[in-house]
Amino acid sequence: MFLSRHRTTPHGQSRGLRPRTTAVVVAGMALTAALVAAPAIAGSIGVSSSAGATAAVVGPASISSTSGRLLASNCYQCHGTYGTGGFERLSGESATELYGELKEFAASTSSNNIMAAHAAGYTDAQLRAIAVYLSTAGR
Amino acid sequence: MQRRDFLGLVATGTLGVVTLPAWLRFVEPEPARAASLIPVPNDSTLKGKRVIVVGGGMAGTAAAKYLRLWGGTGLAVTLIEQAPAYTSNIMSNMVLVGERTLSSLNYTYNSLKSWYGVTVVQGRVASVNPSARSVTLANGAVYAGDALVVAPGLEFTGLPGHYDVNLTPHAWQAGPQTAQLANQLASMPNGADVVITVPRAPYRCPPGPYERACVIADWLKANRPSSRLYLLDANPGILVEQTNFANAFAGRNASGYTVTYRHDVAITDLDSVGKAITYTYRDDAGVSKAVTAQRAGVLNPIPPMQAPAILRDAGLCTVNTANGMQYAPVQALTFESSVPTSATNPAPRYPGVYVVGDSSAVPAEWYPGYTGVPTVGIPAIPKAGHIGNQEGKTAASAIVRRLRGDTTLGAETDLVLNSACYTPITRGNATTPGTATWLSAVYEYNPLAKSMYAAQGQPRAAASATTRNFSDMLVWFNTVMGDTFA
Repeated sequence: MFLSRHRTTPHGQSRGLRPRTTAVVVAGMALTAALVAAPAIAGSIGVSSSAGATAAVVGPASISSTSGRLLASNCYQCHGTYGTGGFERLSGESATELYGELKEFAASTSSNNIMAAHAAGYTDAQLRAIAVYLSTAGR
Repeated sequence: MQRRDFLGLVATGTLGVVTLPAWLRFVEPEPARAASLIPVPNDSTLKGKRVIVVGGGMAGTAAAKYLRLWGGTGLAVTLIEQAPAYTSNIMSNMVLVGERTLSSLNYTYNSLKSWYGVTVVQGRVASVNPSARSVTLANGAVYAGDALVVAPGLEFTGLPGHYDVNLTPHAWQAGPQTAQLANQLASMPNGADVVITVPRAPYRCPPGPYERACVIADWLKANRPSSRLYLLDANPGILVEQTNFANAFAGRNASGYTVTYRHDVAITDLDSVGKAITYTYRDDAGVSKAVTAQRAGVLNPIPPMQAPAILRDAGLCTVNTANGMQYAPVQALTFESSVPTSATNPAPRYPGVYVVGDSSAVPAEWYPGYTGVPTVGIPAIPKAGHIGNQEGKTAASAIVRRLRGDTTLGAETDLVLNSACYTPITRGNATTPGTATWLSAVYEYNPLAKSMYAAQGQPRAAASATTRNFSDMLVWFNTVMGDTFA
């Protein structure tokens, strides 16, 4: 239960109730390729997990993987070390899903959503780097 | 705690909880969960290297933890702290009004020691020798490292007149003074007034004094209905969350309390024995007014604060022209000291010495192209626990990368510092939530100016005070403390 977020809600609503970015849902693999190819996140980190591999990774993929590491650590004050708790677990989600959610928040016009306020302060390349790093961090 | 025991607790705590999908985040409350303890990577690359961290607050403790997480088992990390545990400043205003106990704000260094393998030394640092990257303790012991991280927090100064902190505690460093001020409030007769003073920025936790005024005024309304609260601000206006606080002060919120807010306050005499304050202020029309010997039932002056003597005496500080206080200038990308070699040589004099947390001063500016009017308090990097934690991580990242021979650090232009906090507007607790707001600011790095800047549109604040924000505040608090101490 702890590891599985992709359930229906207590009210039986499905995940797709609110429209999500079509590219994320339909063209997930294509976006994954784009993510990994982005210059800001050059390197192999995140490839296996964003492609849907199931191997559990404890901590970062490699101690020398520094791309996105410090950026992603901005999330931990609210989502736990390596994104393992707090408001919501982030680690282990695919890079595609994390990036899609971050972009959704960044584009939000909600005046009462702290994640919208937060995500709006990052560049697109930074959001990609965060998503790729978190997808491989802690399980 | 053994890892399997910890995981067992997590499993128990989440039994029967249906986790919510991402799109419901911040719409329906999700139960707070403890984060997993992350193992220190078994990596001996940095064997023989040692980092000394001074100060076990939000910044220093986070630095020590992440030095191990990112440096691996080979890197020796020593944390020097004089107290056996940390008392959180965050949430300490709730102790003043009886919604929390002081002991509920205590955090030990047990995880740091037993899980992350940090050597914790309990002792008082008497002096810092930045040239040798070493410190000397009061007992004479000397600790030196390949890098030195100094995170000693802030020291409080005096105030004009007959000010005695023992009689009129500031309680701006959570601990015995918090309990003392809470007792003063509890024993104050109905009809007596509470007077709180705010120092000129920068000071620790920009929204803190306004938050304190709100929760105490809310408490007065229920418990001392004939009493009033005066908030005397040395600054030209409310520094942050102007709309939310102005609404609260004017009674435009659910609780209906009021706060008499005065700005541009200059204290000329403060009598801690007679609990009286003499000062001038500017009314909203800009006219200067004088108040002589205003009496208070509880007088709570928050004095100016600066980097402590161990930093000032070590030559690591410069004077802030806004408030005359001293802080340690640091480089934005690394939090390494930026004190120059000499008047003619700007090269940093003390490589390997990092200052994080409230005593540091990070170069900050408006975002490129900003044409608005400068506002007091913005765009400076705030002195606060949430961002202090991130400053500790930033220094840890720089230190580990450099020790590993990573020369690309200068090209790491993706540094972001996030400051976020929740602020109670009315009293409450986990079972009976009050209302709260939030404030969030993202600072980006400008490689040309080698400076941080508040990203365009930042900071942003909650639209209003809500009970939902209050519940979120408790999740945030538990998580930021967990990311630092667990």
